Amino acid sequence: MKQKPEGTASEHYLQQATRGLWGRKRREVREELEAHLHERVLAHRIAGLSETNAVERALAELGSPREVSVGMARLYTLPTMMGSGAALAVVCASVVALLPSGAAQALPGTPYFPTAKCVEALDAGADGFLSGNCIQTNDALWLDQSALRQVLEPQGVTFSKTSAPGSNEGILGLTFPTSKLVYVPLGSPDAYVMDDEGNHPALPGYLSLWSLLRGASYQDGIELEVKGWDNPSVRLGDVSFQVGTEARPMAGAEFYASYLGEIYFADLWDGLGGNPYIVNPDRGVRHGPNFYKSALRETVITMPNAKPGVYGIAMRLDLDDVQLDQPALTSSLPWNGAVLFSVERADAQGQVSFALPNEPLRFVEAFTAESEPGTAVLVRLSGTDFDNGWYEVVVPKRVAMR
Amino acid sequence: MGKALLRDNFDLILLAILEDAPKYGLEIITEAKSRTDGYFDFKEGSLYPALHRLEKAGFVEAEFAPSTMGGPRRRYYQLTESGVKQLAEKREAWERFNGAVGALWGQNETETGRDCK
Repeated sequence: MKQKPEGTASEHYLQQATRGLWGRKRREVREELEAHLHERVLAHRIAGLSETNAVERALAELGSPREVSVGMARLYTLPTMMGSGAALAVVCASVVALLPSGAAQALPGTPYFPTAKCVEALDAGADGFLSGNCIQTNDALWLDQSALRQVLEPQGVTFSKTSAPGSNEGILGLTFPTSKLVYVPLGSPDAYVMDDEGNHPALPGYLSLWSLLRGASYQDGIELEVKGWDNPSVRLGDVSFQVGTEARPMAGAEFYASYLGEIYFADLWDGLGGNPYIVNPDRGVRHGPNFYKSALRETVITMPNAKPGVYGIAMRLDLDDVQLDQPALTSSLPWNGAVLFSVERADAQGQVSFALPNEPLRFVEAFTAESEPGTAVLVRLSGTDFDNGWYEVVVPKRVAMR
Repeated sequence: MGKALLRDNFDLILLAILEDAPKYGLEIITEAKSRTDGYFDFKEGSLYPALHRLEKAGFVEAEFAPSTMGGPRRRYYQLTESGVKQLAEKREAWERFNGAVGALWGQNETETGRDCK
C-alpha cells in the first residue's frame, strides 16, 4: 500500500487510529487520544526529551494505531451509529425479504431508496438532522447474514458468531479459506428499519456490506475486487458473490453512491460541512436539494493511466452559492455546506463525465489532509489493487468543463 | 500467570481501577501499571477500545471534562451500577478460580509461592 505523507506523526496516528469511524464518534475518539498524546508528550518533555523525541516515544508507547481502529471499528462501524450516540438509530432503507436466488452466487442486495414515512419521521425532528439525512448513502446496503452464508459457505467460508463481552450485540466472524478472520458487526436491536407502514423491525441478522469489504481489506491476503455496474459482483480473495439479481436488481448508481458515501465518512471527511447529501443530480438519484439543470456542466475527467472502471466524486458545495430549485435548507449546524456524491463509469480510455455544479474543482486526496482547502476528491471504486485497500483516491490527469 | 490470562481479565482490572473514583485514560494506564508492579505492560492504545467496549456494555459511563493542562479535553470513566455488579461477580469468579488452582497445586492461598524449591 502506498503511504501518503500526512503531516506530523501525531496527526498521522490520530487519523489512522480513528479510521473507520465517522462523525461525532470519530471526533470524540480523536479528542480522547489527542489528550493522551498531549499529556504524554508534555511529560516526556519535562523529563528532558526534545519535542520530536517526546512525540516519538509517546507514539511508541501507544502502539499501532490499527489496534485502536480495529478495536473501535468492531464497536462502532455500524453505519447507524450516528453522532448523537442515541440508542435509537433509524436506518431508512427498504429491506428486501431475502430468498435464495436461482443463480448460486447471486446475493440479493438491498435496493436503497427512501420511504415516505421515513422522510416524515426525520423531518419531524429526529436528532437535529435534516430530511436529506434520512437517505444515508452510507447506510444503504444491508445483507441478510443467512443469505450471505448460503452463498459463501459452499466456497469455504465458515461463520461464527460472537458478541462483545457483557453485551447482546452480535458480531459475525467470517473465516476465509486462507484462515483470515474478518469481524463484522451485526445490526443491533437498536438499529431498525422503517417501512412504509411505519413499522420498524430490528436488524439483528443483518450486516453492512461496507463493513464486510472494509474489514476484509484490513487483512493482508484478502484481495478485494468489485466488478460491474448493475448487479455488481464482489470478490474477496477466492470467494465471490453478486449483489442483486434480475428479480431484485441492485442498480449500479445506488450501489456505488452508497459505497462512495461510506468511504467519504470513513476516511475522507474532516468533520465539517457535508449536510445535506446530494447524490447524482443528473441521474435521478436525488436526495435533498435538486439542481437546476442550468447549474450543471459536463465535466470530463481523464484518469492517469487511462484506467476504466467506476469512479466517484465527493464534492463540497456551499448551498448559498449553487443554484437549487428548492429553497436552501437551513441546518442545525453552523454551516450551510453540502456534499455531492456522483458516480459514473469511465470508458476504455479512462475518461469519465460527471454533471457537476459550476463550481471550482480543486482535487485533493482527502479533506482532512490538506493545508489548502480542496473541494473535491475523486475515488476509484471498481476493479482491484486499491491503494487504500477497499478504494483508491485518484488525482485526475486532466479536467475539462464544457 | 501468562499474558492470555491477563487479557481475559482485562475487564476485571479496568473495573477494579475505576472502583474508587472516576478516571481518565492516562490515569487508568498509569495505575494499571503501578498496581500490578509493571506486570501489566501493554500497548497503551489498546486500552481505549477496551474502555469503549465496557462503556457500550453499560458497565462504565464516560464524559469529557476540561483538562487541567490546557490541552484537549479528557474523557473520564466511572462505574455504573451495572459495572459495580459486574466487578463483584468477576471478582468472585476470579477468587473461585484462584482457590481452585491453589488447591490443585497443593498450596493454600496464603503462601506467596515465591519459595518453591
